[in-house]
Amino acid sequence: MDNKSDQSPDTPSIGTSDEGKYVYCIIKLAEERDFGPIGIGEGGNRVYTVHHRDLAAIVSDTPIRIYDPTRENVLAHELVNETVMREHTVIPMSFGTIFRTRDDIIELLKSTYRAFDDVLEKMNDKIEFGLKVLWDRDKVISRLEESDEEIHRLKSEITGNAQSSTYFARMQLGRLIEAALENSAGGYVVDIHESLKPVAVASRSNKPIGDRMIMNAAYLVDRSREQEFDEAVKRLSSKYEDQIAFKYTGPWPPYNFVNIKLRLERADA
Amino acid sequence: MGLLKHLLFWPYTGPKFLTEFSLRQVEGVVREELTDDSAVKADLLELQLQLELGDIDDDEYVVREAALMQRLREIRDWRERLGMGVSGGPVRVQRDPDTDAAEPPGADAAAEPAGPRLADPRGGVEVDLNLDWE
Repeated sequence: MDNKSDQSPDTPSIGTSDEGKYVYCIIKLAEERDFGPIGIGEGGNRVYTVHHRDLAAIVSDTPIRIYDPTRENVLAHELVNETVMREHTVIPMSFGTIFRTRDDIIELLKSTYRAFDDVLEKMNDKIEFGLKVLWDRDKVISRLEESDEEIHRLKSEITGNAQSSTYFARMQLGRLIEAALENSAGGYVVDIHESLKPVAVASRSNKPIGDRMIMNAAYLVDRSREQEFDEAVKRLSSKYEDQIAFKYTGPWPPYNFVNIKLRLERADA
Repeated sequence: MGLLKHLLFWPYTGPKFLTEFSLRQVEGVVREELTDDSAVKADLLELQLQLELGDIDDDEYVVREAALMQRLREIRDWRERLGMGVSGGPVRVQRDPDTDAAEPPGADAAAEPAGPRLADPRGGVEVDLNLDWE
């Protein structure tokens, strides 16, 4: 490692003290607006709009730097989007997107006007909810050992005569339990999905995090049906009260449904 | 080198060939290890979940997050050094050469070492919408 790694976390990894613009999201808005001193970074920078026609980028001034995805920074990014989306439909930008100048942002809005306009139209009054489902693996396994006949039999065979129980019996038990777990997780996921489908517009399954999570999904919901969606989640949660736990978050901007890919190139290449 | 010569001089050329071959393999693996941040990102998500579930407290979170950020910065360093893309950070939109003809695209940016990446809006920006059921 060269001296770069000696930098403190707050030192920009590249660049200088030049002012750049951190972009949070794109909305449809013709008039200029100020959202207050809620921007990312230490200073509590003012969040305001940069316009091209009736499109606006929500930005705040920032030194040109790479923001680490710390909880603090990510929450700051989210706070702005949350604030803006109370009144507007937003196309969220990825965390950490910085433009050098106001003109560069206008150039982006200009050249992508139709695509942004189209996506904003389709996303009009749509919000995202996150739903993570967790279970207590050990508890589920001990329940399986009671309820599943074959697992129960094999288990008592192994524990009954520890001496003679073979490696293969244990292996087989492990495999049976794995399969039963997968089966039971799949059952929950299908039921949850089917119950929410009528009240949502679209869904996205992400990879579960850690080994306690069996489902990590995002749902796109029309604002007018927010309450129905809410009730559907509550019904599911009480239906499965003592079996699985729900982590229900939102409303979010549609992070999981809109993807803005900016091709980044090295300027000095 | 022809196959026959290769075989004929194998006692001499072989060791060098094998060394170079395995070094290339090692280099590939090391490069991958140094520049792949997906494991760190997965760890970060898991850490956040642990905090949300109350498995760890705020103090422990802060310590472990700092360690992960250090790993991310090291990966970013390596990616920059090896000329690979880095996510996040400054984006610079290239101006339309028609309206800015005096400057060929990228010329002004090359004069500014602080702007290491360009986003070209003409074909460089994609806005995808995914409204499927998964």
